[in-house]
Amino acid sequence: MFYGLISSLIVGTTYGLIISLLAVGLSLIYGVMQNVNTAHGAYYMLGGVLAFVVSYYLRLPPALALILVAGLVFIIGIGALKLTIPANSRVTVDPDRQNFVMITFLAFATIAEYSVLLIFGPNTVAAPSIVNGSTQIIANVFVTNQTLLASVITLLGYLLLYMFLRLTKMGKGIRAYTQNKETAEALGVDGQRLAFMVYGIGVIMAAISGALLASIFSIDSSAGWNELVIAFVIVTLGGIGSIFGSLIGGLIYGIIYSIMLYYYPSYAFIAVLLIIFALLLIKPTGILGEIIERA
Amino acid sequence: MKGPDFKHLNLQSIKNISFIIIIGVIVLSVVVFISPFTYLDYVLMYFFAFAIFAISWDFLYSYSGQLSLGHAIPFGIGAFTVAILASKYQLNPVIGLFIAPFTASLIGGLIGMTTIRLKPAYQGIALLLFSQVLYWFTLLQFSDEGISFGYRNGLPVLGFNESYFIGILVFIVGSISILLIEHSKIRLKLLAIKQDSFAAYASGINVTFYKIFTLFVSSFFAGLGGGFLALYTFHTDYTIFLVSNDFLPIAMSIVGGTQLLGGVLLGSLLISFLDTILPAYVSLAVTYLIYGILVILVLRIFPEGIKGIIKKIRVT
Repeated sequence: MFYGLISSLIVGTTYGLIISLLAVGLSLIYGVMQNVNTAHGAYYMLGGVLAFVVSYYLRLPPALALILVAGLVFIIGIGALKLTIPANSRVTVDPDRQNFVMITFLAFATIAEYSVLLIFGPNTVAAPSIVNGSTQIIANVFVTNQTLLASVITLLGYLLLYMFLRLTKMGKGIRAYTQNKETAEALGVDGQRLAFMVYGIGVIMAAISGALLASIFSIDSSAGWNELVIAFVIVTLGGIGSIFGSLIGGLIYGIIYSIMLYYYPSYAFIAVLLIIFALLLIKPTGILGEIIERA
Repeated sequence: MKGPDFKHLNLQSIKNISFIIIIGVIVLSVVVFISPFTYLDYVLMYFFAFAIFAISWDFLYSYSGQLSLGHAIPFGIGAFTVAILASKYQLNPVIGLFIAPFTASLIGGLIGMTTIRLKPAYQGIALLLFSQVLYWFTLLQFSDEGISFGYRNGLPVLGFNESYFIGILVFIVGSISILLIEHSKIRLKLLAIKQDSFAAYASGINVTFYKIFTLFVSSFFAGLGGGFLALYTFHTDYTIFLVSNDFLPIAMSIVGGTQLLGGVLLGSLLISFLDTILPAYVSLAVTYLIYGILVILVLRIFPEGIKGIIKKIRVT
């Protein structure tokens, strides 16, 4: 009983950590483009499926496959943004345009989902593990080495992102642009270029999260819709535009979910969604801040 | 924000276009009924359900600026109301159809009310979140078989012709009611809320009241559509809350052109035909693939959909 709870807490923490990477992407994209990337779940799914394809068909070592997947998804993301969204809607505060973009992304996610279904069929696939075996934490609690490594890769991803946003010129531009668009534009920050860059980075985050989780669990073409909802939940919990907030939000989500899963297995997801929905009701400003209409 | 739509058309002619299209659809449904092509009857019944669903979504979006990405919530609740009443309480599905819009309006409206203070994009996702809650809930409650009903002593409680007739009635009542509400005295208030809710609030419009009002009305008619879908198929299951069902009325409205009821109807008709005819030739996956591409193409080439084409014809 006790060991079971400890074990699910550890699983919840690692799961929350990895899935928070997905939310960070969504949050970053919203910060710059003011658009909700409703195709974010599709990139998560693409990341998982591509990780499987690259390592299974091309027989690349899993670690190299991860880098290749990140590159591929980056190209797909930027291509999709370029082809489907007109220039005047990429960065916008006009609600009509935002809805237009959201619906276009939804359509793109549908195309991605059914293309994968047609090419790879309805079976679930699992990306191969980089390492095998498991580690004993305490007495009866074991964690697979792959889960531990995936967590380390996630933390590494966070570190790289943090350094990119803090130290590089483009990262500083992204932060400035998120804070105040007009002033940033006046100081010479090119919003269009940033939009592409941040969208590419955001979808890479989604894809890596998908590839890592596909190596622990499994993935199929219809995955992604749930994850989109989860990503929104995490962003809501942590506050938009904040990397650290998403990390905390992801951990909270993972831990609540795993505890719920331990006690009420079938209703866990519903319970978590309802808790978040209640949070929206009780505290529509506080944690959410930015997403409330400024009345 | 874009300027007012229909610069060259007056209010009366917009109403007339929609009215002519409604009459045209009714004539079409009678012609199809007389014609020997039975399969087309099913296509039209599917259209009746989804057309009401689509115009209820468009009413919510175009007349108060609220974006619902989870409009399958009232639609599905309407369907489940009919199914549960018919299977558990042996109630005639036609009576269930009268109750369905009210339960859908109540539950859909209450869920929606909690989200009206959010920005459109977030309101949409919050509702998407809730439609996923209902998806899992109905899957766990009614398993993947869902609810089938409508047979007593081996005979269907409702004949095919009756179902078709009810479908035409549902279509007439639904579309005319929404058209009348859209062209009633509150039209300008609703449009003002959509264009700039702060300015509307500043000029004395009770924004919160009208947002809640449109939510309840829209959920009411979505429930009517969903109820009819359950009534003629004798079946409902969790798949009614699939994300694709949240997406379908949006695709129909955008292909048709938002804010013009007649355009949305034509968009629904086009997609209903694609949705029911295409799977006969290609797989369902290809059908959805074609949708996705169609929506993106229409948005890129004709940002106003069929509405834009109608506008051009009327102006020249």
